[in-house]
Amino acid sequence: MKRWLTHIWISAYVGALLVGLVSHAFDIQSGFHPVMYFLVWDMFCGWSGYEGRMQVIGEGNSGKFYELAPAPWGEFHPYGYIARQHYDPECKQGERLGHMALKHTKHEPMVRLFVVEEEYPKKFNLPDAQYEAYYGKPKNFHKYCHTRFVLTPTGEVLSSQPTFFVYQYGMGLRDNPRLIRDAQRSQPFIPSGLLNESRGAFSSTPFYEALPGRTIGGPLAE
Amino acid sequence: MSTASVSSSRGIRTALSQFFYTDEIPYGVALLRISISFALLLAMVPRWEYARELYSSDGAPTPVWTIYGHAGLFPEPSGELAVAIHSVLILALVTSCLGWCTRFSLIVATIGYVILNSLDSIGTMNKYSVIASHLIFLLCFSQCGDIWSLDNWFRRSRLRRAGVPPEVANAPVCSAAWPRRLLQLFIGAVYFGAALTKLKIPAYFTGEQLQTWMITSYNLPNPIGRFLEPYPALLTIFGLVALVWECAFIFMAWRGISRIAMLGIGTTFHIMTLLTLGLWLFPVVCISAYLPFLNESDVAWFNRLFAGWRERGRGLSAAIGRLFRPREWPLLPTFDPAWAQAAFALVAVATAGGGVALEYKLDRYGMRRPEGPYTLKELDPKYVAEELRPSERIRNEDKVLCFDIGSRVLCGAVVDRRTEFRQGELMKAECDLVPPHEDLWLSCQLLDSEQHMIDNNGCTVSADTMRVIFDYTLGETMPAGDYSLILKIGPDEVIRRSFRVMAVHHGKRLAN
Repeated sequence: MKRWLTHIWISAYVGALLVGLVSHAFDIQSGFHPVMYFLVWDMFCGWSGYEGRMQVIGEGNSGKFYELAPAPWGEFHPYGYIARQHYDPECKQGERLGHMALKHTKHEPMVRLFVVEEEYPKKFNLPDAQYEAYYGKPKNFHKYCHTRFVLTPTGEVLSSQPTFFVYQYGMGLRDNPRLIRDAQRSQPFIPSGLLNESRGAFSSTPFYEALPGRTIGGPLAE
Repeated sequence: MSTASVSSSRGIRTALSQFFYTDEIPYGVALLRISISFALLLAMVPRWEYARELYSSDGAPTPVWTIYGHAGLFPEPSGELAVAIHSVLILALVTSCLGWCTRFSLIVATIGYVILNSLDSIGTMNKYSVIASHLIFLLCFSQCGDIWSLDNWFRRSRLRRAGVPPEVANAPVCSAAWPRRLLQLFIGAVYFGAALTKLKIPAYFTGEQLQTWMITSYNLPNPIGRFLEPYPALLTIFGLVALVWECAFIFMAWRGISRIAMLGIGTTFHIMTLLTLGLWLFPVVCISAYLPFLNESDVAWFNRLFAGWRERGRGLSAAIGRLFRPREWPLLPTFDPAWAQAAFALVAVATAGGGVALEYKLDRYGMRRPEGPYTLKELDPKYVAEELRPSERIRNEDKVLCFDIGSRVLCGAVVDRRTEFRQGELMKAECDLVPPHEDLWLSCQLLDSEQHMIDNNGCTVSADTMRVIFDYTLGETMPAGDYSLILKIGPDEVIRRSFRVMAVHHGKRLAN
């Protein structure tokens, strides 16, 4: 009996590993459930040449602006020397981080929260001397700021944009007048559902993202 | 069914039975138990003081199910419960490492580790943590506590005090090999899956992906990565070797010289990820996962090696050999194993309570400070105006990663960077772009020493192309001297490279 149970367990585990491999190899439902994260081995599945950061800013009643992430009690560095919020590539957790800071600090009433995605080319991570020796000029550091979400203090989305790279991809497509003409001609007057916006081949997340238009997070207890 | 197929299926069944159910001393899984527990302590001890912030509803957890758009798998714990779980997890990892109430400790550690990881997808959960989850989960089914553990010490003491002869009491306990086999199959599946991922990314095979990964600052500093980043051809070769190894691992890591080769390459690969990518816990976890490949004959080999070193008497190797000499351990007090589990439960409760009390005292959020809660840091309006400015297009100069000139191309990249060429040589100018970018017009202008344009070469680069190579034939009539190549995107000069053309000396001609 015990030997049969062992047979079943071994078969089940090896079967689960095979499900993960097949699902990943043929892109079949590899994201349908969180358990797939334990079965699909997609390390370094994508990349971009930009280093991302996230800033969460609160706007008070008085018109002043406050830093919500990192919170005033200090930041946590999970893997290196940068704070935890910077490991959220799509900046979807900014609202949560902002609410944590608001809940545990003394502050004036807030009117809006801003979640800002910052990106800069990774080549600016090179040491100054190495950069100057290779490129023949000092670093002309420039970061791109892209407001991802504007939220109410209770977590409702006032406005949102797709990620910086999807936005750049969209701008690149809009440079093609023929493509824009074809897209406008084929769009219905009244769309029947949410339009999917492609995000380009070089993002590390699924190719399509539904346009946001829903509340993120629950109301903040006040 | 024919006789041949019957005997063939019996042969397969016998082979599988031997593969999974041979009795063996669990050396490999015992070593894995010790090393993986230690590795997870390195990850989870620093996170303990942030447990409320990372894993509880009183903080900012980022559950993995939010990434998948799935309903919550379990409720987010309160701050106190998260700290209690984290404290008990650390206790369970320590007792797993020491081998006390081993199976129970591993079960508690597995449950605690998976719960906490699932609650923080941006600061805790990672592929290394998922690999570690599988490893400690599979260890729960093994007899990894039967050797090199406190449980084994207690067991031997119990037997010796009961009058069992030492050679019988101290004999190692054997158990079926199937947990170790599952661990081996698991790590082989991980590498095969990782190879599948790489096969889907064309830019992995041109070195472009590795180039940008090596200059990231998401992990620890990686000076060797920054040194290797300008050499995509070399990175491509490394990448191809790694890919072949990952594909072959599950088929060749079982016996003989191929086992040593696969594990050796793997160890080198993971050490290189530390040096080039700044990953530190990933290599520790993955190298620990190789320990189940250790078997009884390996341990016997090491015992003979250390015995030989001990015989030398003096020197470093003799000292190492003496560290691993067989020892007669003193007898421990004996009590019923059930009492050990009760003691573990009591220690766990005390640890949970003590952890919650200590975390309350530390007051991470500062809510109980004499001066009251923290106030938010006010931001400079100019900084905010910059942060909230309208999104802009990427500058042309930010779209170029590398621009190099040479004469030989390997793996699609220039390998011999040069600044001097001879008349008649073919010069190649390689431009690497930063993903993502839109469709571009890339031009390469050749200027002489007086900045007169001699040639203007251009091409369209589609959004999915990251590397362009311009060819220039430096004809024999091209005057020797200094020249420049200027790379432009649209009208903007991005980067320039200077080089010198040397004259070619011809042999003397006879007068007509």
